[in-house]
Amino acid sequence: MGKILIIEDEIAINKMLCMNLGLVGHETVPFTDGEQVIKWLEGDGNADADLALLDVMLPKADGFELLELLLEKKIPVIFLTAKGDLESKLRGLTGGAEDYIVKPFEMLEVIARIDKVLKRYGKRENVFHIDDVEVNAAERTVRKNGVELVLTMIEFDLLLLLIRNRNIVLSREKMLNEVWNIYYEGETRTVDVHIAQLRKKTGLRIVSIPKIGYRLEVSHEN
Amino acid sequence: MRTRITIGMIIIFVVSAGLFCGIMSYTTWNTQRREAKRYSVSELNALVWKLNSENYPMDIKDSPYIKDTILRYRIQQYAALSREDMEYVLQKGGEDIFNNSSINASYILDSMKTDEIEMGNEKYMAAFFKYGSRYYSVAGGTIIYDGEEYDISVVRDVTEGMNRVRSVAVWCIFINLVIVIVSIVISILFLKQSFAPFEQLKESTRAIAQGDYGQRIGSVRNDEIGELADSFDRMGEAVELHMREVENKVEEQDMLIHALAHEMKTPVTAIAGYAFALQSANISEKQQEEAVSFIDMESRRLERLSSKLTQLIMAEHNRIELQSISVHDFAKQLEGILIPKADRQNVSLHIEVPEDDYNIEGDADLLCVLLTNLYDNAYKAGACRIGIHFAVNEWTVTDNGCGIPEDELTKIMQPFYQGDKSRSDKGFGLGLAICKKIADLHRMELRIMSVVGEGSCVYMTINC
Repeated sequence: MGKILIIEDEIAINKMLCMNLGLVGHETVPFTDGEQVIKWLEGDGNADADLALLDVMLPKADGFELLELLLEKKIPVIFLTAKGDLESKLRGLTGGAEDYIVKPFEMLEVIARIDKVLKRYGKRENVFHIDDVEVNAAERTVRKNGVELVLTMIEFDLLLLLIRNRNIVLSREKMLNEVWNIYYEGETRTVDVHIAQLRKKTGLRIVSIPKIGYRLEVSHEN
Repeated sequence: MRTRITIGMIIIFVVSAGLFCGIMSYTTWNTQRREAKRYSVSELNALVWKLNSENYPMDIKDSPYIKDTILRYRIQQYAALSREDMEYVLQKGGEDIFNNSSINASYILDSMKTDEIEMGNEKYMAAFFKYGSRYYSVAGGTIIYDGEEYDISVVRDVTEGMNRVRSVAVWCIFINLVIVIVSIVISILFLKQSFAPFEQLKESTRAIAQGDYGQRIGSVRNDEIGELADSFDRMGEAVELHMREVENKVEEQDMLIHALAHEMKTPVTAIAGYAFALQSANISEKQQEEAVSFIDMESRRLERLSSKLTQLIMAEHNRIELQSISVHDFAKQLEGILIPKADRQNVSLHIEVPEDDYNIEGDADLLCVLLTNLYDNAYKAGACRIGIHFAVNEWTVTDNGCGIPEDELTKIMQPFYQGDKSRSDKGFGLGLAICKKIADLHRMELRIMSVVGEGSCVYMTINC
């Protein structure tokens, strides 16, 4: 999917972000202080990335400083910080940041926000190849071994949600929210029925995780 | 209160002035009446005496008419010589013989039935009345003149005198009225001035009730009200001081909680994130191990944070029991903890005690925390030589670490303050705040001297 710069001085959080974003298919480049980022931007003549997750409080060069440099290189920035006060948020957003995520955050939220920004910049992948299935999000078509499959609207949206969050467990409630726009729990049987349909039609590995939900498993080679 | 006092005072003024005027007028009037009657009686007495002393008996004794005429003639003469306001009435058996007054004689005689006044050996009747618009005082008596009995009366017009009395009374009332009005005005002004501090007191009380604790009256009066104002100001000061203390305390605690929440965000986010990753399939065995080790590391960090906080809360709230501690024993205890640690960290630690042992009052465990924290700080500052020196009255911890910039020296005792902005993984910034609390509990003064690049020295002066 995208190439994402992870600029965060807490090694635990940096590695965690790399690990999770790697699972959904992003390529990540970790940095733990401001100087490394500046060097990378200057050193590589065509330093390019689709997005940067940027911590505000960094050693050697702070996030607001780096924001300008990153924007010069046309790399969209999402701030990631423990500072939740309005002033910092406004400073970040008016300074040109695309979004602002306050710690502690949920991984699903980070993934969704990254997806939004990539979509806005036209950098979101629209064609996915998973095993022998090809999904085209723009044309809303699904082909298996070149043969087009017939999916309902709901089934297609559900498949896309699973692909965008591949290798991650999605709860039934989350799917209801995203696909059906239903915000109450209990009506989860609907999800099970559609998942069963998707499995039958596409043959993808949609694994049921007890007590949590479903996960589309995709091997890293894809 | 002020209105009530004002109304009361007005009532007292008006009533007393009214009573004064009334009594004065009444007694003056009565005295004047009595005097007028006495005057008339003495006039009559004089006339009677004159008539009796010049009683020339006539030969024509059987002619009462002539007797009447002679007597009338004599009274006429007398009247002509007497004062203008004196008038005379002579009657015999109810018939007028002489009357130069403007009043009916029988009216005069009727009026004199009750008032009897003695003068010399004689008894006379007297009266005072108003006839028409004029006042008269009359005196009457019976005389035997040449064997014949006559009723004789003296009538005096006293209108002028009485009017004078009345006008004096009116003046008196008028002056009284002026005095009353003036005194009411003066007392209202006086009351207003006296009550001004109360007004201020009221305003200030309201202001304080609404949270403006800086309100003062600042009275310079030297009376009870001034004292009240002074007491009020002292109370205000105490309240303000107390409130500021409470506010500072709350602010400090707010900051602590804020900093704590901030400090907890990183490990909590990391733990949740790795747990999320572990739920996923397709995570390699190496990644799994990594995630688990990070979760382990971050939860240890939370545990360390919680133990530091416990220390801080303990130092802040515990009423420590001071015990006499031998410095030699304490130094040994400390060596047991720090020397192995220093060996492990490749630090040359030197603990020095004076030859003569001495005792200090304190809690050995807390003092241990204090010195261990100072050692940790020195180590984190990159020191390779650390000295702890227990001189009498002053302990010092010296190091050859990186030192502390001057502008940070004042801030470093605040909880969660960290000199190095990058917030390395080494600590939370609670150490010195804990040291400060422990030093305070032992009435030790904690001072830090530092030269950037050369090292720092922490002085703990023991106040006995």
